[in-house]
Amino acid sequence: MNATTATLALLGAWLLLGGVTALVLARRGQPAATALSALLAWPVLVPLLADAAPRHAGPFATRIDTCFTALRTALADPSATGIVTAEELVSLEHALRRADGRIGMVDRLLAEEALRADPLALQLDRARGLAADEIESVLRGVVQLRVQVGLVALAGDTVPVRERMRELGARVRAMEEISLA
Amino acid sequence: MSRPSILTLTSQVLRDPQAVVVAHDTPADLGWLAPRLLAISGVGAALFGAVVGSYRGGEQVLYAAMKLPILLWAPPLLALPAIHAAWRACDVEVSYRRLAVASLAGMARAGVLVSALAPILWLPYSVEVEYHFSVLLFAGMLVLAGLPGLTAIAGAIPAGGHRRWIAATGSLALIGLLLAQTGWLLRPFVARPTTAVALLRPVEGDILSGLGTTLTSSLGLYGDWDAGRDGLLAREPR
Repeated sequence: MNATTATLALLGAWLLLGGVTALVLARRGQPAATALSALLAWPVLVPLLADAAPRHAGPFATRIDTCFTALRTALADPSATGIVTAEELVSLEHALRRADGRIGMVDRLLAEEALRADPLALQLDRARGLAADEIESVLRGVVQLRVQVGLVALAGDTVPVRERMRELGARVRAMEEISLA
Repeated sequence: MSRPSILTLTSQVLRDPQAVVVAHDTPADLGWLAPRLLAISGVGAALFGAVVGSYRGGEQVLYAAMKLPILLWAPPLLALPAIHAAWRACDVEVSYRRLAVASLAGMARAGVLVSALAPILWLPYSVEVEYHFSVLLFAGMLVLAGLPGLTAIAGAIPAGGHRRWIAATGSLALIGLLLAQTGWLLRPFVARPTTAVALLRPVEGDILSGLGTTLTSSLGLYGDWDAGRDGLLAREPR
């Protein structure tokens, strides 16, 4: 095998690995553009493979996306650097997504005719309503956090933002504890 | 808030790649960003490649436009796991995902910058400068556009750790070496007007021997080594 053939063989191996990654990502519900990107640039998309199996998003998935993208953009401003760490933000977002996923699962259960007739379904529906209200409330808190980030840029006092972040984190943790109890 | 358009994203990676990295640190963000940032860097590099290929003209315009994006993408993609390991070894906690987003932002930034440099390269090429000087000009512009791309990756590394200079120097050396050797494997980009056009030239020697030959030849000292006239999809000049 000469050197040019070896180069082409390496290129083929690269594309093969990329093809497998693309296939796995496509089967996990990633958009076609993302899966196709893996064909060429699979090393940067490896973290998507480490994600657990496809999660069912709940009814708040889009609002969670919107709220956190907006908050991250506000926090990316130089005047807001260091107020909230990336880890804190990711932890809060993941906890909310988990809560949203649980509501999605309950919604699917309640959509089944046979289960809806069960006497416990009413209790489940009530619990679902309470959990949904709590997620709504935390999402409103995330929006308020953006306003407070704006105030930090003008007044420089980071304490209210940190306190609000702690409060939101505690509320989401409480939701998890209730669901685990 | 909706996701930025591809034009806004292009402007963001050029002005403030750190903001792009900070604002996109979830798996969903990575999946959304990857195709867009690859497209930005790919289109920019292909435009630059077409200008580089115009020195020889003909099929070389297409070949160079195809190969330049690979030259831009390969070094950070290949080096990413090693860079991650090097920083972790120096006790710097940086997630692989954050490094991946930073690499994509760096590649996109370099892609936009090389496309901006393309007209500057086109000017001397259109007045038929000497071959070796044109190769050095091409390499110089690639380095000029690549450095701001590297700063985008470096900026994503958080503070802390110890002996950071080892990881920083190692990462830079690795990317530099991979860029040089990938360029050598994928050559020719700038082909002599009198030589055969080829998609890939046979691998003769390595990047260091090639650079030495180019430097001495540019000073008018020609040795007995010359580029082969064969290779993948090679065609003799008309």
